[in-house]
Amino acid sequence: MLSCAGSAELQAVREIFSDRLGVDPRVLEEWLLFTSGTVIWGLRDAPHLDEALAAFAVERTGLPLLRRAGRHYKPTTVALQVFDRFIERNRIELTRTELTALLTAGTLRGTREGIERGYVALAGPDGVVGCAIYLPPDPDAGHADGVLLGQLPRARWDGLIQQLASPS
Amino acid sequence: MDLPEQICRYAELTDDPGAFAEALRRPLPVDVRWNPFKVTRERFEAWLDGAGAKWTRFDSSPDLYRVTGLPGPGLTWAYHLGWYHPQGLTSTLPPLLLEPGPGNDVLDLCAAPGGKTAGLAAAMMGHGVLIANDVNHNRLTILAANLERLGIPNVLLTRYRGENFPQRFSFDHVLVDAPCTGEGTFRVDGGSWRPDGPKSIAAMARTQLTLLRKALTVVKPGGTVLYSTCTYAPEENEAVVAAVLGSEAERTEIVPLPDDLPAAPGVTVWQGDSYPDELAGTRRFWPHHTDSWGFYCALLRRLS
Repeated sequence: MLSCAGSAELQAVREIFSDRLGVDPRVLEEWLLFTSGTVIWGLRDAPHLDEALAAFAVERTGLPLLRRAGRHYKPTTVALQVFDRFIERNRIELTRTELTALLTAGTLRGTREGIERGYVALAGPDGVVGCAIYLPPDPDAGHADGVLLGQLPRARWDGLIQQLASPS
Repeated sequence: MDLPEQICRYAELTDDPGAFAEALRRPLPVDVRWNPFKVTRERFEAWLDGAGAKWTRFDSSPDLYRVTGLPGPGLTWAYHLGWYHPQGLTSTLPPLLLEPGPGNDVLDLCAAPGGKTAGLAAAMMGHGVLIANDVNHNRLTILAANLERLGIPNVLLTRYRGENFPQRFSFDHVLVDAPCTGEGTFRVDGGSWRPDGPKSIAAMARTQLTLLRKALTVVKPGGTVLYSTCTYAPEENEAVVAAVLGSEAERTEIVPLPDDLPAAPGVTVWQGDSYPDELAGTRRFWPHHTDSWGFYCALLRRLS
């Protein structure tokens, strides 16, 4: 059942995309937010949108922006890709070799300066590909290096790792 | 490869039956439509070059690229990033001929699998109400996945039977890419298409007419409806359009499609039946003219 997003969902979108990933709030203002199940959806506003929403039983609107994972919301792959050029913080750029290693093993060690603990936008040579979790070094826990935990849908990327490793 | 009798019967409608038959036996070329919602054109072309693909563009469909040398258009990194959508030349034309603009209200009545919906969104530059409707749950799932991969920002998905689509909202433009017998897809998968026979054509024509009539009731006066199929049968094409022209209730006129398309005029005589002369303003896309799927398009305007 689709419904307009409440203040908690609006805040979640602001916290993840603006506060954490540095997306200009004016970019987010172009989107109307809805919820359905565990997903917050974003839809570009339009002149007659209210009338259309009232007229039809709508199954889905626009694009999934955040998906609830436990108690927290997680940015979706498509949202990170759509906001790619607006993401100015907590964005990790990987080389082809690094991206291939992360997709293959699921994790990648290495300390990233200026990156905060939690969700990050993972970018390869062709732009943002999706989401990862970054854990900074934690000597008390025995982790001298930071680590990236890939959050990309494995099934989608499995067949592509070989291509990514090639020069093109 | 032997051609089915159901398809051979159309040779008399073409300007060159030999070229028609020869084109049907050739493998279908690979066409992909650049997706402006995910990547710039320059970057997409650079990726094609870097991937070792040879490509050409089309005057009739400027966002479409005919490519050779890709390992498989659905198997690349760029495909999964949503940079393009594999789509035959003729399938890209309905949104271009319907010409929706930013801020318009648009309905895609039979939308799955979503390539034409994405084309409509591109023409609208992502602004305006765009409703993508499909009755089949599995097809709607595929539609949603494609629109998500392509990052289409302004689509509402609905699941009504097209014939029962509610009349509570009026649209500037409606696309009816109707279910059909699919004769034009004969080249797909090396000629694996199999004929269903005349009964299927007649049943499809009834459904198509109901869908087109519905579209004409939900489009605004002065608005346009693009009717398309991927089949050759005049019973599913010109005859369906002729049926709404003859109805006072629909109050509709044909908008002639451009002469410079790689297409032939709609037929006005077929196996003893004749259709109004205006049907020549609709377009048949033969495979030997486009090196693509067989296709049919008619543009109609609802009168006040």
